[in-house]
Amino acid sequence: MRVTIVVPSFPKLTETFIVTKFLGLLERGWDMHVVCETTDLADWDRFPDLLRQAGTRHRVHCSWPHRPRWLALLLVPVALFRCIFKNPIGTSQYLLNGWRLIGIDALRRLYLDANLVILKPDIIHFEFGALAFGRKHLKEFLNCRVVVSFRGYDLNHFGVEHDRFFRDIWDQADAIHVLGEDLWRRAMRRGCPADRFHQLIPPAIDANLFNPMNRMHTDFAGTRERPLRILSVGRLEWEKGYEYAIHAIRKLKNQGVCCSYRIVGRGSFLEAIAFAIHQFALDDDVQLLGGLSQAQVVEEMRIADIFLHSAVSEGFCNAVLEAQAMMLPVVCSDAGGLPENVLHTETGFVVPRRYPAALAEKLALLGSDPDMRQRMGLAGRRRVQIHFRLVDQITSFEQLYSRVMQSNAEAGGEADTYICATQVSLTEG
Amino acid sequence: MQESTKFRLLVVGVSWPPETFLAGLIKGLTDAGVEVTVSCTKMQPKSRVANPKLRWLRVPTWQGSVVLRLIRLASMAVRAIFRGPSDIAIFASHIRKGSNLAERLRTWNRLLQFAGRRWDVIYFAWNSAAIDYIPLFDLGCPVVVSCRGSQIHVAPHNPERLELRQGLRATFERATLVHCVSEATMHEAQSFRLDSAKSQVIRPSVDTQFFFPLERDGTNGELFRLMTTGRLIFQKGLGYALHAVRLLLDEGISLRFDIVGDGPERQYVTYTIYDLGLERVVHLHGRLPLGGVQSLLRRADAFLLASVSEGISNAVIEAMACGLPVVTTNCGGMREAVQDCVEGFVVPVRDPIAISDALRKLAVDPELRLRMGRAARERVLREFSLDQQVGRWLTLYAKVVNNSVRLR
Repeated sequence: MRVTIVVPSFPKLTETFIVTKFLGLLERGWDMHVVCETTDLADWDRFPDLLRQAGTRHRVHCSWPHRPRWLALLLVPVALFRCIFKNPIGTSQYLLNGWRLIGIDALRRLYLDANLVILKPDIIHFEFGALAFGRKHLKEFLNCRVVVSFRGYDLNHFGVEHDRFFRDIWDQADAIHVLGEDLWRRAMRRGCPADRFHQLIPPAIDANLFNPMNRMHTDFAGTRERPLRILSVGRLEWEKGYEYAIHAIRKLKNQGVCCSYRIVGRGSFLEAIAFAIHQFALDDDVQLLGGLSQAQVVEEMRIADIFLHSAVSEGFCNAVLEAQAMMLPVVCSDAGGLPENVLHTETGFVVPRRYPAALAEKLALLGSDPDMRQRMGLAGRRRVQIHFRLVDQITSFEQLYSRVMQSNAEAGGEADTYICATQVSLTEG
Repeated sequence: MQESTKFRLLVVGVSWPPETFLAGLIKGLTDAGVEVTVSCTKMQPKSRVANPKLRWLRVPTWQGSVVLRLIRLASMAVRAIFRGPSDIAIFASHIRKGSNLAERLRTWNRLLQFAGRRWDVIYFAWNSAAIDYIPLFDLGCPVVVSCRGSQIHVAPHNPERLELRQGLRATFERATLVHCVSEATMHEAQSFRLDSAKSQVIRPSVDTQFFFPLERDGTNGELFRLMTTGRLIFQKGLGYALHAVRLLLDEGISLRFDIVGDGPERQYVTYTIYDLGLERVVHLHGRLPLGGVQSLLRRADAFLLASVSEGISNAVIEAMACGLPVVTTNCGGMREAVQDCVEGFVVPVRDPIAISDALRKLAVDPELRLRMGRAARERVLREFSLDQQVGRWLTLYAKVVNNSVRLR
């Protein structure tokens, strides 16, 4: 069975989960391919697993250039020729259908979809909802199944001003994949019919990779000699609510707790974050570390006492899962799927979003209580090992794809919720 | 005091049409008889008609086909060599420091139009413009630079823009006079080695003929109409403003919040509206023409500025001119425009509870709104009216011109 994953860029450090899923399914015999806009050779070196497996490079297909325009125009005949050569039936089907529905624009579309036409996939999986927007023609033109994942920003704020923005996706997709209950509720709030076939598959973590070794939370932290070490990992974007985290650090300091707050990540909200640090006079207490490799992130997590995540908009958050795998107690906001991710008072604390005072209170509590940090850290690691295992995630995707192909036979047939094994145990837990 | 207005002024780095305050200043200066030349990259065809007294110096953009760009650059170079060969040498001494060829060509493209031309004063309306055009400081004309908010208060703290600090120091050192929009901005600029002896504060102003209150009893019935204007950027603290609105609604106060403006954080604002369940209460208008802003202001009950950083907000002064009480955060020079409990309330930055407390006082007390609104209008007439401001600028320029004449 050939499954083609569509992503903006591959492989990407901030989207490691796509790489692990790709490799996991490949290992189990699925004919996996990736179609992306860009691929950076330097990034390949950061994924030794990808390089180790033979032939992965040939399974990643970059789109033809859109710009400059003249180059794209020159390349249209080349792309057309290649499509005809590799998949004559599919190409003629695409062009015939296209001509009927959108006229000459079909040629431009073919150029943009050339890789998908050549690959003849059974299933196209858009890994982000925003990518599927405006591509409803693919299903009909290529005669394949379409699966769309919603991972956070797409449902949270992509096209949120328009009432029926994702209407085509709700109508056309053979299956919707969401990371958790909260995202599914959001999908329904944005017009997805409640009986649409969907599957909840939470992210998964390689607990061997995120190994805390023998860390112990034995120190009382918060003094000048032993400051409380707080860590955040995430892109520097407004969604992550860093201004609230920095405000919380100010409040913590006002309470007399000495702390050192380190932020890993880069992004377009850097100026706002740097300004907040300056405005709260925390230049010595908050460090912006920039983007780090996974190994460096693991190292940072080993040193830290608490993981802080103050997002205002979130899907599920892999970094928070990774922190739990690293035995870090988590203090986070209740944005998006975070309450499903962190068990409040068990593996950390979940407080209302946009409330720095609540964040500060929980940080101070954890700082003064090493036993609690230890207990929550252990519980966090156990939780990840039981509920967020890679093998389960891969199995769930296999189930999803198999069901989508089965539903082929019973076209338009039953549409229902399908909750995978992991998710059942998660909600019970 | 009558100042001589017989001088030639060059305004550099303006994107046309300019911001309201700049347009007002330029118009005021040309009306007073100053010969104003505006250098800008983009120019709408109508702008020439709008102010026939204005002169233009068009700096072409470094965009489009490479061949066309190079031809344009070559023809500019030939004309510049005839006009002012010595200026070319001045520019070249700056440009040699740049390494990258594309960057060097871009800089030449920006500078060549200025070769061989002279003015009595060169005025940079933004710090960034002064830094981009730093070779013009060597043309021998006196230079005035304006410091307005973000480029002094925020951007220099961005670790990826540390070169801005050097730029600020270099331009402050060489400028004849530095204008600041508020005392607070001047104070902040001094940390980039601005000499207080050559800095001067002129606060912004508004056209009080255009922005004036509607005759009314100060109430909109039950509904409390709150308003803010400004670009949708993080500096405006709209997340805090919307949070405060949510708190007020939770207390049962019925209100409507109009946001006028557009910008890079639009997505953040729309998401926050959605996330806080404010879709029915908040109206996001996008950019509106001045008339639209004015009519919304005149119908509003109060103005909110929740900024985390400001030089001094023009929007607040416009609202005050329309007789609106203002709730503003205490950042930059806002205290210089609004006195706490007189023209409105001044609250701490990043504090939605304090914002909502102040708003509640206004929401429940139409009398207070009326009293503070009147005080606001009076304050603007007294200190922030356009006519006074043009006079202050004329004095400032005259001082610069006279000093340089004396030095020669």
